[in-house]
Amino acid sequence: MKQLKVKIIKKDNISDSCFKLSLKSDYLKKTAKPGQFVSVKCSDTTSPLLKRPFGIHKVTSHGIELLIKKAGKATQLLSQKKEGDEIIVLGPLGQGFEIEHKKNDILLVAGGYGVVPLYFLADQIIKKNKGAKIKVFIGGKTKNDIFCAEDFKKLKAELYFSTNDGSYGHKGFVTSVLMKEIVKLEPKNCVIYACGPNPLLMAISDISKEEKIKAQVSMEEYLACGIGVCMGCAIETTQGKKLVCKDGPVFNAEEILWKIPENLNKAIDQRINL
Amino acid sequence: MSKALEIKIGKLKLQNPVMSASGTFGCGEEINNFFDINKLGAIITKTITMEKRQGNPSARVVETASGMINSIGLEGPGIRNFLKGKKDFLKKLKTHVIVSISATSVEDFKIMTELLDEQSYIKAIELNLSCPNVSHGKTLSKYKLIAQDPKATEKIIKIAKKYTKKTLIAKLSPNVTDITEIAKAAENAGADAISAINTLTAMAVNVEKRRPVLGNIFGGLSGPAIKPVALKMVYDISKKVKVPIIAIGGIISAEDALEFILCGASAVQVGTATFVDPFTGENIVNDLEKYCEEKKIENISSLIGALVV
Repeated sequence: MKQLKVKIIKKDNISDSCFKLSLKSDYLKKTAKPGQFVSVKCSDTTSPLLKRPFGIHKVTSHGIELLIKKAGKATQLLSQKKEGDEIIVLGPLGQGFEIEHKKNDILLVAGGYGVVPLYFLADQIIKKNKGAKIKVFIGGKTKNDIFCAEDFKKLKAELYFSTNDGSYGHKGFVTSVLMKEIVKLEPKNCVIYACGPNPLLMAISDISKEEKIKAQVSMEEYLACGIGVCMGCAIETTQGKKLVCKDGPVFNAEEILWKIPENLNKAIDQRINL
Repeated sequence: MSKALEIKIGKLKLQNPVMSASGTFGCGEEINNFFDINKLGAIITKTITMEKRQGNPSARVVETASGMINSIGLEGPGIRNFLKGKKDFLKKLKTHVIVSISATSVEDFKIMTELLDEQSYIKAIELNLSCPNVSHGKTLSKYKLIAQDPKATEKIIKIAKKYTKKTLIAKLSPNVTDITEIAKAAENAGADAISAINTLTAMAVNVEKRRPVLGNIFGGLSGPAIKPVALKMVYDISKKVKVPIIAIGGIISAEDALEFILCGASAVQVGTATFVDPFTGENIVNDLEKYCEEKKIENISSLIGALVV
């Protein structure tokens, strides 16, 4: 892990709310593993103050690529950077996905921007395991929240979509689509890799337990330092408190002790209605 | 290295006045991957408690305007595990190791001071009397924090003083009516130095969810947002006590450090800025050195309290 000043060699606006930054760095290209993230200084002033974490989306011939949602002031400022500008990046950070080489039925489950690290993972799995059959399940609130479908198609992955409002793919939660496919497969040959909002990851943990399928989930928390000194991003696990930035962001689903969210009943009701 | 930055805090001679602030630096292992932390005047560890502590529920950090609020709640392994686990690393350091401690009873403060006193590689103890995210024990004071009560502050420092000859630093809270009153109590009780300020109690709200952002509802505000408040408090304290003041509060540059020194601080601690840039401590040391060279300042201590008013 290093703090680097890197050049933006390409910037693509994907939509009004989303852009890609291609960063030049031999170091990041060589060291980045799927599921790891980088922390980026988004302003030159004290506002916003802290770096922002972004999952590594791709490794390119020159460095790495980030896919970023304009979610607040920091990402808004970052979106104004131009090709040729330099930014300060700390990374690669955290523990990424552990590729299960002996499992051939690879189930990637993304909620919204959860596709970001899963694309990098899919790309690596294909390179390392020729027998891998990758199914990608992408869920979002509406069709505007579905990203990267074309990229996954190029990897010859099978794609499944769902949206809460039915504007694209199955109407409902991505987990229902996932369950329909899981029943056709042998649990021993399967592994789930998931990234997305906590309610999705919690549902994946349940599925993992009930269907006896190994699952790895990439968690999100507010981060301050990104390197394990501030203890800000601690979560509860079966082995006590762990840090999302240093011990994660990827954890085995079975080790997470989920907090029951206040709106869980509402979420379950919604799942039943859909 | 020139001697322009050398200063004294209690019995300690520091090669420069820049330290890490407790809770923002772990025990230094992680930051040592970025720069040689021996370049700092001293390192102050994360606050150690008697027993293992789980800390507060998430979310525990949130960014606010030019600052952040944390409610970690002194998560840590407890003093025995700390001594076992970190000894090898800390022993090898050439810079001074200062251990920060907090407790909820006089007895625990006593035991911890005794335990630390036995360790020759530990050069000083910072008594964290002011973490806003924990309660410092009802038996100690009617106030939540020891550093909100001059009598309790005095009592703890006297106890610690009795059980160690090492340099003792009292870390004070800004969440008081008059910080100078507490600082005086600390000095009278025998504190060798005063660290100020700890974080300001604060909260953040999520309008969408109509909930507090932090799991603990409240936390402590730090970062550049609190620097002007800290400057005033350091200035006030310096007018009332003779012991050295170690300034904390939003320091991100050598210029910030100099502002505090002019207001009466002998040294500074870098906290939140380390999260923004792990190299901050090293950069401040280098820039202070350059400053003294350029301005032909023989020793930085000539600037302590040199504010012209």
